[in-house]
Amino acid sequence: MTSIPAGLSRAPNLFLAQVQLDRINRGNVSLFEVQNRLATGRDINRVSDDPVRASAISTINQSLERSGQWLRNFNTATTALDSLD
Amino acid sequence: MGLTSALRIGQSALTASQLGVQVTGNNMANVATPGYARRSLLLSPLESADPSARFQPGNGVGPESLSRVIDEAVVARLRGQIAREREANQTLQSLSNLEATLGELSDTGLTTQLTSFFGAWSDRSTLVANDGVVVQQAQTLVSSIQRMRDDLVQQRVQTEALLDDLVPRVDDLLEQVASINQNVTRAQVAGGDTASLQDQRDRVLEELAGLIDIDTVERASGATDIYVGSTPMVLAGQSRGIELNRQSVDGRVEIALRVRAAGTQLPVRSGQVGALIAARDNAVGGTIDQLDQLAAELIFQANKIHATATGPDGLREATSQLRMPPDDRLLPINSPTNPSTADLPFEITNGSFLVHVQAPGSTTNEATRITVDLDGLADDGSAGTLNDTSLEAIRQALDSVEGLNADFTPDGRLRVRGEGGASFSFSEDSSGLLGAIGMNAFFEGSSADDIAVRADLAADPSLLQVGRIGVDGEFRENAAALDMANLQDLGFEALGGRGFNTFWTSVAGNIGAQTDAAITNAEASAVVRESIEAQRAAVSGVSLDEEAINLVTYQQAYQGAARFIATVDQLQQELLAIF
Repeated sequence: MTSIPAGLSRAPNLFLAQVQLDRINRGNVSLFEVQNRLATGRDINRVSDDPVRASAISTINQSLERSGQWLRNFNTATTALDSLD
Repeated sequence: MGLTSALRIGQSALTASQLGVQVTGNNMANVATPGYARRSLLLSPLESADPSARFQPGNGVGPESLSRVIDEAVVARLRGQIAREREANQTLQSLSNLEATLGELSDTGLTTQLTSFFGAWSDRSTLVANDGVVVQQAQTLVSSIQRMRDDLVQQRVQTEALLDDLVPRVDDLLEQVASINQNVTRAQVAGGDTASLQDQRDRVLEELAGLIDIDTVERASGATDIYVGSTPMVLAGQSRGIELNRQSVDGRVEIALRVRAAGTQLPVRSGQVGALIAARDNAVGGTIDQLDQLAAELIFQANKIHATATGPDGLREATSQLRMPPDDRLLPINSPTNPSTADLPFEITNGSFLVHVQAPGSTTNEATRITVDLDGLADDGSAGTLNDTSLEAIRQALDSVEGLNADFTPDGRLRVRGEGGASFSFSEDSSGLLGAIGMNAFFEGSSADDIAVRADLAADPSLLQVGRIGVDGEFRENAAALDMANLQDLGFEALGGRGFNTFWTSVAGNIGAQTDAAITNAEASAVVRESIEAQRAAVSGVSLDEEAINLVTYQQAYQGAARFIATVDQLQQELLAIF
């Protein structure tokens, strides 16, 4: 861990225990994040996971939605024209 | 110098090493006590009482001091860092709650709802889907806007509730420091032990620093003064107290901390309390404002389109959403003294609109242009709103159109009806008047708080209008629906030139980026805090190995002293045996 300054003169017991606890905590939090990604199947679950990619995802989602909309409208038009034909 | 005084040397050594064993035992007992600073016993040789005598072997040993091993500079840095860490954690928590409320990237997010709403209009423009779908989708959008606003307001309330808990705690801690200060000063005057009191005060100061950013000043009397910025909060044995002050400014509740004794404002921006106040004002408050902005613009734009929308059969009746008291109706719409329009979030400009009236049985309509004169100029060209149009003038103009009847309902709405079976519709509204007063509106309300689908429209979706009479006077069956669907591609001045979706994506993106920064900040401040804590521990922490060795040393010193006393005793016995 980088937070422990170099050249400590003493290593008291409570301090050692605290450092171990912090390390285990940090490991557990990272583990939980990975599990969350596995469970949802998504790399980004909240905007804060990666704001840059999240904004791209939003834009792409909207484009997809719009394309779907156009497709539906075109199909409706095709059906209408076919029945006229 | 006799054997008796030699016994006294032995006794001093016994007492000193016994004290040493006790101090070591106490250190070992507190090995797991957080914030405990180890005690260090300093022994020094006792000099002879009579310096003039020759060959003085000394008078044994005595305790010189029993002190806490502590580096005050490191402790002060640690306190500052704890304040920063708690602040970063609180900011992170507030932002991540906010992010969860916005729920962007999930199906419940507002951008998804907006896309579905405009999609429903696009579906409707094919004339295949029915009116009910559009109204249903609008209801879903409206309820998710309202729910989001409720959640945000709830979050602000919870933040305030937390502050209501924490600020009295800060006050209590200040009081505790003041009372410990009194005890320390008293004990110091009496020459008593102040170490455990100082430990206790350090713990209180540490908790206090996590709540608000404090500066401390040590006094010679043993008291610690506390400052917030440059404002003294505790001076020796006296706390000036702190309290949360609520103040209503322009209909908004503002909260601030102040010194109870003086009533002066305290600019706390750090620590957990500082972070809570900042989150309440900026992140949560700002998002509520932006949601209101979005809702207001959505209401206005949708109403503007629906105002000129009509069906193949035209309208029989249209009523405005705006309720105007009789006095205000006579005032020009742009008059600064007209309270009904001055507070309107939507601007009405100089322009005109057309009203088309179709007599029963006829296939053509008669168009009349109604002028909305809001140029702010009098007839002679000088500035002034006196001859500009009032709502009453609009009513008269509409009423005088053949086949139309215009009046004000008892609750002050402008109502237009077709006479004798005539139908009517509006078009080409360049003034924005019809949308602004909510004539033939789609939405009710003016913010995220009160947005709703127009009540009679929600009850009867067949009142939805999707066509419009174009500039060429031709009726197009899906023109209004297309305009409504195309709203999602337009940018609006009120939203900084952005469209609805882009605006909200950027609001959510901004909160996301802030949350991301807050995560980094919280992690970084934790690392720095751990580093400073390690430095403090290196100085003040109890090491069992070290204490075990001290214990052995004192034990051996004690054994040595006992052996020495035994020897002196033996010598005395020898001496007594002579007689």
